[in-house]
Amino acid sequence: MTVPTTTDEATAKGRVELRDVDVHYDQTVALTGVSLHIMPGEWLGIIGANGAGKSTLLRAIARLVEYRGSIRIDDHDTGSMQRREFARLVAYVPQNPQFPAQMRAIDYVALGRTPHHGYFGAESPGDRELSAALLHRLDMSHLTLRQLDTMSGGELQRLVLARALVQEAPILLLDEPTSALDLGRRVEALELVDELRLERRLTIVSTLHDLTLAAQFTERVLLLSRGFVVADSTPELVLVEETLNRHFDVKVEILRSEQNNIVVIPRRSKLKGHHD
Amino acid sequence: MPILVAAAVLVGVMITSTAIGPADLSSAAVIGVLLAHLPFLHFHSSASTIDQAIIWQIRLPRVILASLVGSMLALGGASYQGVFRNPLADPYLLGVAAGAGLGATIAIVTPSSFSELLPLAAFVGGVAAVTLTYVMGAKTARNSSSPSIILAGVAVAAIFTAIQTNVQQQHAADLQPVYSWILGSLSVATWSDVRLILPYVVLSAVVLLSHRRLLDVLRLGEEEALTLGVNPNRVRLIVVAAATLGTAAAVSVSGLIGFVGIIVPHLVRLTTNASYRVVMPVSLLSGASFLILADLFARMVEAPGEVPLGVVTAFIGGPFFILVLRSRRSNQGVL
Repeated sequence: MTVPTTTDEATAKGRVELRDVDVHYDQTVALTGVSLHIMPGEWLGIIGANGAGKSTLLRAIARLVEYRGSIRIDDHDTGSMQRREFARLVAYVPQNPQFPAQMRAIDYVALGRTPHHGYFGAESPGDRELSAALLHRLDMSHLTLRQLDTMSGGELQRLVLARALVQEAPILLLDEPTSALDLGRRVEALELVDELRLERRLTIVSTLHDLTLAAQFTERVLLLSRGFVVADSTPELVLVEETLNRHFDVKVEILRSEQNNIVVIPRRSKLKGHHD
Repeated sequence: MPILVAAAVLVGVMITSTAIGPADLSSAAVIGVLLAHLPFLHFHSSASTIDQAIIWQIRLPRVILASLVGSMLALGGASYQGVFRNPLADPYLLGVAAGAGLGATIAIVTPSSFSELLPLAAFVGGVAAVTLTYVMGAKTARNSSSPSIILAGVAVAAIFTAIQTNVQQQHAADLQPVYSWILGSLSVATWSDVRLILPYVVLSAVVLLSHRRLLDVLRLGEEEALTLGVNPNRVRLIVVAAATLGTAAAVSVSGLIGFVGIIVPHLVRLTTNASYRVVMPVSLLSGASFLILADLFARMVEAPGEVPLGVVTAFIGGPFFILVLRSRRSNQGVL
């Protein structure tokens, strides 16, 4: 899981650069002085306690919240871009996407082509083909004509990914992509994201609650605490007991699995079966 | 596919309902007269001169007007439901009916006014009421899908209806024409009515149909729409403006015909795949068929007398309205 090394590294699309980004919600400060470079093809995991500013950071990059400072993509200031132009560079998957009931899978996925249409533009057969091809790539061909309200959580998660990928943006922002999934579906979803990242040289920025999964899938983690960046490095360097204890307000134990994966286990404050 | 079926149904309904009436005519005669009026074809109808006149001067304008009004009300209803994410939203909700009613009443009671001014007055009243609703609602709402704009519509409609009732009471002599306009009717339809509203209906339908995919984007929610490069508030404003313009034009010649905007889009949703990309064009076509049939019923059931068209649609619409309210499946999420 390394950054795909390419000869055209300099021309690769999807470099994100934040400089002194602040976000305020009315009186409360949500993000303070965030500066960071995300390289093309990289997978950055954003971790932190509830309210640390993980989603806010993602939403600032997606231009869904007002921010101060500058956010640039491939040397273009995103704040001054047309929304449609921006949507061709950045695709965003919210934590709880809305799935219109009774809409068919193919009709849903095709909505991802919206930034490639003119304002009054209709869907072209090419858009349909692209959507169908993506459903096929995600092993969902058999669900093409199924209505969304008859699909399982795992299927919907893959579907929303298809909707974002058909946008053909080099940067993919995922807000807690696995929160609604069971253990098996989580690994499946993240493996799929990783495959697609390598296949299409996508830059992935995702918030992740599960630190063990973050360690397994991302090559770089950014730890936020109360709106500040407190660590930004490889999982091995960030996911250490002292740092996590301080910023998650809990005692953790870091283990290594047989495959040498980092495993983060929170310690109970009371032992099982012992009640005072 | 559903679009082709709806189009075929509409053509069939138009031809047969033109043939049905006090003077019994055949569908073949109707088609003959239609062909004779097509340019460059040099077709000569074999129907008698009287039959030709009945078809061309009396029945056809009425059928065409019914199709324009019906398609506009249905398309407007589907559009409003998409914008407000409310299954019971229709063009009347934001005050089109109350505003048009006030405009029409003022035109009728004003001495020496020309009858040609009635559609214009109704049109202006309808547009004015919705504009007022939008301005009032937008002041208090953070975005226009919020219920506060619908509450503003209810308030504006109440105010306009109160003024209309007051004007009506002061001119008791004109009670009859005011009343019959409000009940809605197409019994005096002429080609000039068709010409009057055609530009508005066409313009409105073109704008609304070209937004059908964006109405599906709105169903993904505010933020996803933004990240797909769509400005939801601008889409809503354009759709509401176009739907209001077309609806106000339609009711200005037909009077207040209720429930078409609710019945037709809901039936379409239940029989197709509930994507606005399909619901919008099919509603347009089916709305036309629906109102032609309702009008046929209105002129045939008590022939030679007529039941007001608004009474017919309300008679079907009332019970249907209750069914929609009771059916959770059609009520939740499909918008």
